[in-house]
Amino acid sequence: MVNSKIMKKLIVIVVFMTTMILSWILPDLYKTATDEAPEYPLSFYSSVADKFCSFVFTDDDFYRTDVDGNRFTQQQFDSLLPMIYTNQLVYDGKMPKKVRGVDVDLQKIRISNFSYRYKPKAYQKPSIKLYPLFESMSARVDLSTPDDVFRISDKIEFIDIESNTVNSEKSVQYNKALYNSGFSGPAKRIAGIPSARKNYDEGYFIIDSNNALFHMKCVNGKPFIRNVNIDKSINIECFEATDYPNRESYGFLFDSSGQMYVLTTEGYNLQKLGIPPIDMKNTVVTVMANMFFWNVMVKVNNSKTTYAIDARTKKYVDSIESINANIVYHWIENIFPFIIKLTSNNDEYIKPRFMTNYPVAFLFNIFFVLTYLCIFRRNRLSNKILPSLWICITGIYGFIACLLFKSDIN
Amino acid sequence: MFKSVLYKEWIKTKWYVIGICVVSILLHAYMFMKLGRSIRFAGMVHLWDVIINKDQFIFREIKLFPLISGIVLGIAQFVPEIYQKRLKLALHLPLPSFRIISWNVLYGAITLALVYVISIAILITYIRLYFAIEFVESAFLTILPWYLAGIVSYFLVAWICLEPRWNRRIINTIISIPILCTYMITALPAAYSSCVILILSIAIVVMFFVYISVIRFKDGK
Repeated sequence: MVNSKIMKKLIVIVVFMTTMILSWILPDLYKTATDEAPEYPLSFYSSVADKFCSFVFTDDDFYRTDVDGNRFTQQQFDSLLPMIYTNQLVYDGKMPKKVRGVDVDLQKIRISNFSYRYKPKAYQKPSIKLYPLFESMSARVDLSTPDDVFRISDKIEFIDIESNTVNSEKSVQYNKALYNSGFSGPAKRIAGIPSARKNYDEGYFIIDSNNALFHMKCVNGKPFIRNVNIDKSINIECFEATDYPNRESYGFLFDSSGQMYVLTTEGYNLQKLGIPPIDMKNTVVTVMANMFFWNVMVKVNNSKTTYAIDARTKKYVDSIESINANIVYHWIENIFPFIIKLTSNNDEYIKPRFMTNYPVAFLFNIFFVLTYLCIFRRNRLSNKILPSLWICITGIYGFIACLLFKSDIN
Repeated sequence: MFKSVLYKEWIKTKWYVIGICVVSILLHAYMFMKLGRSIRFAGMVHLWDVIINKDQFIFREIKLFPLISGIVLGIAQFVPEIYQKRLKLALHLPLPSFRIISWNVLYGAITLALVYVISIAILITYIRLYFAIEFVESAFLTILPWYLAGIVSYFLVAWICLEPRWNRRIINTIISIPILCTYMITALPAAYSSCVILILSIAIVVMFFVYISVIRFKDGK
């Protein structure tokens, strides 16, 4: 009798765990078997035609078009997008001398073209909060990795990598400079490029506990620290440092509403990008910039919007929306009333994430309850109530779990 | 009686426990030698570059050791119980059967936990000698799921081995594999930092699964 009571409790736990495991494994296997690569048209704003031109992918082919539906050959398309196909146009001898009344050449275009990608995964990941501070004016072409790293809690501390001890002298020097500039510890976020494989060094941008942004770098062995004096109405969420050859910007800044800004090197001027705020946890933003326009691609779930913004003013010019053409809907997906995912495309943490699909899946759940009752029609009703309720909630997962442990349940 | 049960389990598994300890020592020695070589050849600055910029955990070799040692000890302890029909005898001792099984399982779990605690302590101490506390914290959060997987694998092997019926053993194995997979998904440093309580809870819950097999064994299922 005692054993039977313990057994019932233990079986409840095992069935619960099996159900949860199945809600992770089954949808994952199904996705692995049926997943298709997303297909979006690739759109760029033409600095010649002043409209979006796109590559549109079909099942086994693609074509080139514009927003008016005109079709283009490869050569026509190259000419429409001289900032994208510069190398090809130069090779063909068809590169115009002027675009939009401005003299252009390969060198100018190469320097002003850049691409940047914001991925939620890069923002939401565990990291070791230690950073190497490079010498920004090393007088050498290549940057060399310093032999210390720093941390900022209430104060800044430099740790010598070789001896694994705090470099007190340097720490005091930087602490003084940091706090004299109005910094208030601890640092909320530290953004920079911690690698020597970058075009040049601009140190780090630090968001302090009062949400103020500070620029810190090492110039000729001495601390350079500036309060960037960002408008107090902007609640800074994240900063991403960049190192583009044109040296026009320090990086991209996002506020708590998801609005994107660019911090320029001209007096730390903050320019708002002419795109709507994004959901920073689920959106991938790709910026493909040229001398005249920035193509900002905002991808969320199965839709992608490409904005054209003016490269100088960062004001909105035009936008085009597209939907993943390769969404394959299988009705069988509704068999899963909920899904547990332990990994995500949007962050690097392992943790359970629940996604429900109840309204439609509930019909399947009822089907599985009836099937269960039919299979075990000869069993006592009291033994069938709890499993039926569980299957009603968890559908196929609970059904399989109850079948696997049927001898202990009944 | 408790001492007798422990002694019996020790006699049965001592060579396996010694083997696990030896492998642990050799593995640690290898990892430390490898780190020493990397420091001599590339320097600490390069190592930091790898850690910070490439999100690499430099002691990845330890990943499978806890899992395999847990499975080995579980098999060494419980397979003879079934094949030599000792479990039947043990359950007929003048003691509550749950107590006997608990002592058996606790012996293995505590032995493994001791080996793991020493292994983690050695690793963390060594890391602290060369790296800052932030890296030590990250390393601990990285290896914790792997060592928990070792304990969980031991409990699951006990659950599978003590199960009297073959078809049910297969079901138990099929369920055990994804449970263990949840602890081994990635080697990315500190990726499990936001679900430490969850993976600890699973380890605690799984500990009780062995009683299902014992009850089924006693009921003659």
